[in-house]
Amino acid sequence: MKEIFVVALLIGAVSYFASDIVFNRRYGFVKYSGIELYIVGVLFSFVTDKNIISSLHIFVIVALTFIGFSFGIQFNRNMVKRITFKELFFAFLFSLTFFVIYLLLGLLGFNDNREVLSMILSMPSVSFLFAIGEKRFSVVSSEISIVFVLLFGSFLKFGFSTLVVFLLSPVFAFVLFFFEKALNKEEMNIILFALLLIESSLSASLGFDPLLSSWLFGFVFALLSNSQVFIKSFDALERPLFLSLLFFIGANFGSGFYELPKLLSLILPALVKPAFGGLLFHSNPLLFLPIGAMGIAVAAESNSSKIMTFTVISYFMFLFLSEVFRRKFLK
Amino acid sequence: MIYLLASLGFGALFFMLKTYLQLNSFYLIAFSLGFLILISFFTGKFFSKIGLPAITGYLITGLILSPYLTGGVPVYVLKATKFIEEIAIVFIAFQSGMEIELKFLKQYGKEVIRLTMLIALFAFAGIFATSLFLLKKFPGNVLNTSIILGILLILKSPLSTIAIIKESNTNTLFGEKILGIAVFKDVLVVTLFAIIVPLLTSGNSSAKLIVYGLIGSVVFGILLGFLISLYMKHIKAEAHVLIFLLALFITELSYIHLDPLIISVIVGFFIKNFTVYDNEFSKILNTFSPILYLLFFTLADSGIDIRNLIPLIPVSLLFIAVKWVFTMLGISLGTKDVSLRKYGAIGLLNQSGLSLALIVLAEAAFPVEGPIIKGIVITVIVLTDIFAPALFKKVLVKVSTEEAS
Repeated sequence: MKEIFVVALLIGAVSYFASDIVFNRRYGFVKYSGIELYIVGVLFSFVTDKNIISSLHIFVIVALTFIGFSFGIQFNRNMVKRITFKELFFAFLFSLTFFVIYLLLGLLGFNDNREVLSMILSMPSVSFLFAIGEKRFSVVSSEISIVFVLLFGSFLKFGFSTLVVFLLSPVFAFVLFFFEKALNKEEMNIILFALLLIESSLSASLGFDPLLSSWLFGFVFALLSNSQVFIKSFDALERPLFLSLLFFIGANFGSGFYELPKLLSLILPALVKPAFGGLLFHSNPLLFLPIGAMGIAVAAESNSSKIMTFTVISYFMFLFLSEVFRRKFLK
Repeated sequence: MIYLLASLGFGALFFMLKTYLQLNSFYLIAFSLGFLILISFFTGKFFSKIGLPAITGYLITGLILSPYLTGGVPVYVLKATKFIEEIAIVFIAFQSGMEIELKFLKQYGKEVIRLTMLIALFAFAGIFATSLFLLKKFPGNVLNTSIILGILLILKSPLSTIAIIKESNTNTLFGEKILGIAVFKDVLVVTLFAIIVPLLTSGNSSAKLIVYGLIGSVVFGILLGFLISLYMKHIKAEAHVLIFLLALFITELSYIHLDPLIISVIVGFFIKNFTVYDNEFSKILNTFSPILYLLFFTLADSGIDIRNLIPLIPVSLLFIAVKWVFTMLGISLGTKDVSLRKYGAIGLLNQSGLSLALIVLAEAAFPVEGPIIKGIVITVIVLTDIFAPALFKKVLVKVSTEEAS
């Protein structure tokens, strides 16, 4: 266990140090992409025992609960109050349309994990939209659409055990909220850490999505408390966690690479998404091309080498294309 | 009351879910750790509320949830999380080192060292004589048993000392002196142990290795302290990540016969006294220390099979009494400090967690005498863990009030 922990810690440390470089520079399409971490992960896969890499999945699940919670607490009371019916409806339409389209396409040749692929491909990149200063309507709708996609995917993948999430996560949120006034920030962090550890292990054993459950945990807590207690610490964690996932995906490089030609055939239909997104949100279609960080998280959760490799290649490719088009047409 | 209810509630939920769910080994670790943190945290809060140290709560939680009492935390989880204890020891030792101020040493160093020597000498003599008398009928060479037991029972835990001082919110000279004695005792015992064990077993074959280990640890500690200060001066970014990695690295140094504890104390001492980054370093330690303290003190006692210790309770209580009386003798001969003479022996009662690490070495060196030495030392640790932190906290508050008035 110590060996695995050391490797996980090293990955975390590399991601932490790299996040300053990756997210603070000002050049090229690789800006924000984290491609370096993926490449380091690939190189790492050649020098590390495969058993250690597969054992890292427990840490990925824990990381996903942190990511999910961090995403959930962004839906605080103020933000939720401002959500319009139109945003909610468009988000639903956007997510459902693409989830179904990719699900049907998946039937053509990707019977295993097709719901995971649908989730990944139908999630927009909120951080990309936010980074280029896209209007609030598109950003908020995209954020909500990710939640819908998580819901669709979870029900399809895990069936009715997903309902456990709706019982369990609010309980976790209530526990945290209940002690909020009595405890200081450090103590709250300890309680949250413990609850997220429990949530990650329960999601693995009861069969539900750690991302969705921890999102709901964060969401209910943010609604109850409207406190900013965790926002700052999670802001600092988000980027290193995302880079760690890219590293992990790189380390799982291998069998997925050989199945790539088959998987890449899915990329072409993926181009339909920006067209529809652009039409729906009256924005430039190219903004809806990139795969989001949550897509990367879903891929890492699948623990399938081919899904991870496919996702990350599509992620870099779409990011590159959208950057090129953005420079050419959006000046 | 609400904290006690929370602790009991999470405890019940833990056992219920553990029985109902068939968790695989990896997820069982995350699951058990999560619940262990919650239960221990709320027990600690409850203890704080009723005026006892939170540490006592953590230790009692560990004992109750141990695989040998209620079976809450499986042995597998304890083995898999051993490294957390190792990292925690490094962090706590960093803080021990940071507590030793050069200014304090210049002013009180001679007194503290003289006191440590006297207390150690008296405590050793008392325990040695008692052991010679009491343990004659146990297997093995009673002289070896008595010497090793005498050395091990000298120890006082600097880790719990720091934790209690922090928790009591007091800043007294008495507390500083007790901590100084505890740290010097550790250094003295590690040195004595390293010299005497090879002498009692195989002669002086590993004498060179011992000297290398001691000097090497000090040099390495200074070097690491210097490197950390360089990093903080020139790079600064993500220093907390670097220090966590460094702590992990230090735990591995025992493989090359260096002592992680001495290294960590020296690192803390160096940064505190020879650099200007002591505040930043301290801040970083404080971000990790609450959770590490909690896990360390909970996990430390959860690995103890309390059933085997019950027959040893009377004899261990006698050893505690002997240690207390002879420590008092040492103090009264070594100092005129009123607070120390009045309460010093209480402050020095808590048996050190370091003895747990040294027991492993003693068992390997003395296969026949090892089990009885181990049994007594662990029983003393458990017994003193239950009442000594609470007594020390009370004494600290009392001395603080006396000093203020």
